[in-house]
Amino acid sequence: MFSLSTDRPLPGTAMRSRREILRIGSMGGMLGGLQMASKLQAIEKASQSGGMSGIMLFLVGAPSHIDTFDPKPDAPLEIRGPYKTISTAVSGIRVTEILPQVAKQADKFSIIRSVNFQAAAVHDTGHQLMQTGRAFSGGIEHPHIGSALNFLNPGADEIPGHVLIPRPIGKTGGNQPHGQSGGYLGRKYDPFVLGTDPSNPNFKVPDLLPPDFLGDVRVDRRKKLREVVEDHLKLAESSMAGKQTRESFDQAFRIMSSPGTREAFDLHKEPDSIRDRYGRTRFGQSCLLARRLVERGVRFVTVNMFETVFDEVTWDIHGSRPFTDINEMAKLVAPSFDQGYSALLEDLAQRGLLSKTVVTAMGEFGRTPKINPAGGRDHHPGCWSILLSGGKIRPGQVVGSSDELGYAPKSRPANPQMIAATIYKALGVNPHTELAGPQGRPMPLVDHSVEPLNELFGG
Amino acid sequence: MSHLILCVASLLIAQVQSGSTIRVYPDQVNLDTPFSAQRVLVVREVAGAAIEDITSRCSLIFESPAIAKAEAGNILRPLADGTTNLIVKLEKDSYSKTIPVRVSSMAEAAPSFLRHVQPVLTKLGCNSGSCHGALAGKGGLRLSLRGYNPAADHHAIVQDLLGRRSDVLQPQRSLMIRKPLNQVAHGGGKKMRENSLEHDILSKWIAAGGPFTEFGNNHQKREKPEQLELLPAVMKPKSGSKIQVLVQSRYADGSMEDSSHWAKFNSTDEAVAGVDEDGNVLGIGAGEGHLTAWHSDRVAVARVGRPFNLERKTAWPQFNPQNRIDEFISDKWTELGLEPSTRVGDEAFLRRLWIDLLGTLPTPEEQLEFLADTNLNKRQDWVNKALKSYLYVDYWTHRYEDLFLVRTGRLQQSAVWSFHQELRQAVSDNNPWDKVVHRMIAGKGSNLKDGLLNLHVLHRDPATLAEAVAVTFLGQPIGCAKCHNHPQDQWTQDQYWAFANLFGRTALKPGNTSGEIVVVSMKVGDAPHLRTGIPMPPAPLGAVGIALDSPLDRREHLANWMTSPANSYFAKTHVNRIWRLLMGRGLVEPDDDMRATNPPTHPELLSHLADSWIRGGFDNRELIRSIVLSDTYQRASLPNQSNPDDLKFFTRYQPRRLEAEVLLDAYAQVLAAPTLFTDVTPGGGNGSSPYGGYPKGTRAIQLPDTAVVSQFLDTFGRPERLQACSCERLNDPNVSQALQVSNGPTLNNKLVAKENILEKMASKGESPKKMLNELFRRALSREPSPTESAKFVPLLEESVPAKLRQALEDIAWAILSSTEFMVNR
Repeated sequence: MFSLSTDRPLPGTAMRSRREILRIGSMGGMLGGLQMASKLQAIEKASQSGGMSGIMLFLVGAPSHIDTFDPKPDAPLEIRGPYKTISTAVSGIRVTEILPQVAKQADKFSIIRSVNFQAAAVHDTGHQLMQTGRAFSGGIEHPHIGSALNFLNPGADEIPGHVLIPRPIGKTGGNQPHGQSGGYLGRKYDPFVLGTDPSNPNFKVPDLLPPDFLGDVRVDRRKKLREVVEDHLKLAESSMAGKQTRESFDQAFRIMSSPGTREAFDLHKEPDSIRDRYGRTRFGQSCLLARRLVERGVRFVTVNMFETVFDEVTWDIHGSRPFTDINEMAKLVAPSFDQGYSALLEDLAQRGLLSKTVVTAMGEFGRTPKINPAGGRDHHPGCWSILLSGGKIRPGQVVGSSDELGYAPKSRPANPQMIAATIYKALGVNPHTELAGPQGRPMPLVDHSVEPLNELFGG
Repeated sequence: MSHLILCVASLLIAQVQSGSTIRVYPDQVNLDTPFSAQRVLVVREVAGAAIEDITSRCSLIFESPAIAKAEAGNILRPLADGTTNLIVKLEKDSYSKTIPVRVSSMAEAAPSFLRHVQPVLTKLGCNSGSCHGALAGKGGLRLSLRGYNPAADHHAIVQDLLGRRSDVLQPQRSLMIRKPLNQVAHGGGKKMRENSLEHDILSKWIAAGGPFTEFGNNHQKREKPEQLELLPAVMKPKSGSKIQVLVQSRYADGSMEDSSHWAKFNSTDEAVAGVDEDGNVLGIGAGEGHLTAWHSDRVAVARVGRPFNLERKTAWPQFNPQNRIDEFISDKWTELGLEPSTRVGDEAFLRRLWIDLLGTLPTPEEQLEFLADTNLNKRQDWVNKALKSYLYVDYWTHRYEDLFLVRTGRLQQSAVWSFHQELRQAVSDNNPWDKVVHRMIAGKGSNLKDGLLNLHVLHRDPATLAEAVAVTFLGQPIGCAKCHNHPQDQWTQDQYWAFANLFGRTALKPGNTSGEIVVVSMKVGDAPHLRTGIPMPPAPLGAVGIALDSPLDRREHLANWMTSPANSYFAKTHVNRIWRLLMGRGLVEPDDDMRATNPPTHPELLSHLADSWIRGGFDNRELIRSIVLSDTYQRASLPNQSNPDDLKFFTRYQPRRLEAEVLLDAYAQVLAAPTLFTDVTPGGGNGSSPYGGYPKGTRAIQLPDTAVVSQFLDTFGRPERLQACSCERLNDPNVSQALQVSNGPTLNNKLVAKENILEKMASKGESPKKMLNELFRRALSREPSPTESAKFVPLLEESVPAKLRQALEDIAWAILSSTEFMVNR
């Protein structure tokens, strides 16, 4: 097609045009490249308008669905577990008593109770499937939903598009990638990793801002001295690498000096009442930071509730050491989720942000319905529950159901691709948008044959 | 007779016009089905290149109008069996040409599924990946992706759903017609126009009962073309002007047919020329690119471009050809009116050479020695010196490790070390590369005794290994063909599985020690075809295979074929990779894709490099030497008046960002502050035995393992070594890198490190001028300019002793974050 000769919109999605232009720009010599850059910016601006943001709360370790969102009060004790059910803000929906505050926000989210996959019951596989929609094979890494979104609808220029709080998922046993990167889109689309615990009293942002020992005066001096060296050869004017380097430093300086970016990461600006409402836990403050970031133009925020399943008390309740049992989960894990998640939904709604922010809370699989001899539950990808809210999602619904034991889906089984499709749709992205995969192979976000859970939309 | 005179006259007229001739495509027309359509093209050519499409200024007149007619200007359609002549006349009768036309089989032939209907389905997009070609189909109809499985597609359309898709008695009621016309609800909307050629073909095909192959006597061998031709073969359209192209299919029986209507077109360089779906080529910018046309699993390529300047020079005072490379490269400059940049100065040359060959900056001592060297052949001497250095061995081992995906994870620590040592030995000894690769492919035994065998441990499945081998050694990405024939691949699914089956008898057995695997060849075993489940007789790509029951060692057969001097894939892929590493851009780019759809910028040079490498005994050092000693390599990076837009003809050295590992090492080297590598990422190592770290002073280019933790290296695009693709390494500057350099710990910690070079300078009490000179030499291989001195020296002079160190840190940061430092130029 004559991509360069007409002013009509380029065919395909915004992404395709963008990528095409990138490709042409990179080949078109300096002048062409510069013209392309301005056209590119125009397209980026256009695609931002009305753009949704996303927050993914990843409940690393995998919560037990029976002890949380899909209680089985009529099942035998070794299945239903120790917790009673309570009513919620939506009549007919019940959760367990360990989530009292989440229950009060049930009119803001919907539960999918029939999520399942067939692949191996290892954490890493679940991480890949739930965050990218696909299990990795053949050395191909797929992009995290937030990275793909940021590729398709880039956020503001002076702030990273996809931020990961607090740290990437580390060791969870399978020695596989965890699906939290830009995948085949390239490292440029990896999330910006916070790398520190926001509940720390001295919390500040590393790398995005200059180190402590450099005062403003020295930062400014460095910048000016650098310009002297840059002026010598003026490589930015005569080479693509020079031009890209100049642009990247210009943007870095904008980020470093942007009051908005500094402000966005400055949790200390939040009143104590708000910080207390989210809970002074790592997860609670991560949720609060996520809200601050999407409020200020970050396109997507991923919060890892835990970094590993080995050295912490997590949702991974196998019972025996080094893992947790059901009671410890209820005492030590559920409360911080209960507080942080409920505060996030309440806060987003109050600020009018929930309709523009898709909030996902999910683990990598469910847990075995039958309690094991160690008083825990093991990995169970056969059926579990996740929570979706915000954006175009219709709240207060239950989609799908599990059988009486919570063992397998009874109705509307939903695989990870359908979940990914649903999240993309909620974010206003066509889930069948094709990205250029490895070797230029067209790679739809989710397969063309997979449809979102459309009952969650409209009405 | 009158025609003859006309022809001679027109020839004379045509040649009068400023050295240009007029050419009509095709030179004869054969319309042998009722739905044949032949495009006619009239172009003005200069020196064999079409420069202008003048078809619309011509009239097309048949001597017998009852035989054939012209539609839509230049499309010839049959009317009745017989022969006639087409007279092509340019306006004002200034040119005329007669083309013989033959029409046959108007009565008998019906369209066949293979020859006519499949192209319709492809043209309309029915069998594309986003419609019915999706793995699970769409709306209940499933077709093979772009028609790679015609038998199944035919079955789906004719037999499934009790034939509802095609209705012989009332073709227009068939879903096959009504859906694409959107007369009934169609998820894909309206795809076909009423009374179009597509509509006509589908209707007649259904009416004929939906035959799979063609009936009629003349068409036995005409189901699939043997070859495509894309005409004109060379085009130089003016900016903004269009030339329509013609795609001719040649069949086994020698007959030709126009496939332009069905072909898919692509431009390899849209900055030079674009192409639309009807094959209209639009000239855009200066340079040269290629146009490809695909039809029915065949590909044809044409060259398209336009000179940067009209002045054609064959010699330049600043350019002194040193070897054949320079001749091939400068021929293209002549053709495209390009002027090379000046010869690079000594200071920049040494820095460039050291970075490209050693991954290391030259020390101030080396620089001064080189500058003082008065030998006329000193660049040659220093190239030889570099090639003998252990740094060369380190760096090129590292580069081959990228290629072969050496890392812990799929390999245990012990295997990584044996792989590393074996490669290092091969680089150090400069072993003939064909022998190295032969051993890697065909070898047997313990992966710890011969580390090269870890190739088989890395890719355990025959299909995965086949794909890795095809890309790595032959530049053939065959992955798509695993599941389906691919439009841009010459390799079919059958060929893929024949290739994969070469590894069908490779087995891995546990060895005696941790991480040891023994690679063996079994007497039985096969890797069956994914779709048919039946093993294919093993065969290299496009070459003679062996029988399924042959006792020959399959890997031996493959390795012999691969490394044979007659195999151009192997040599061309290798020399192109080396060229790319040294010149910044492959003659074929990307270097992992050597397919026909991705032609080289300099085909003759590529052949020359491959031939020389083969004749010289697969000698990598010699190959590198010939490239860096060419005058082409020694161009300055700054552009002149004529070449700022040249990115692929090597008139100047394109500055490129230092590779992640080279940059990190350069920071350590300039500041005398080594990097510590202590951890391996989760997923690295074997989980049970975490690695304890590398000795202090280990350089990033010496690490055998990309699982070694370094946020800096990741930010700067270190490849993970998981995919066989040079695209894994990213050298594009981006904002995360700028943030890392500005605020991150790596450079900042080196700047403030105790006992680094800044500490030494500050404590020695050297003069500001001397300190500045030293920093510039170490980092940029040059002295500060007067302007730089004027800005920096006073800052050092004014700093009280307590603040001197900080001033040095900030100046060093300015130098080390500069574009000049971060690129090789």
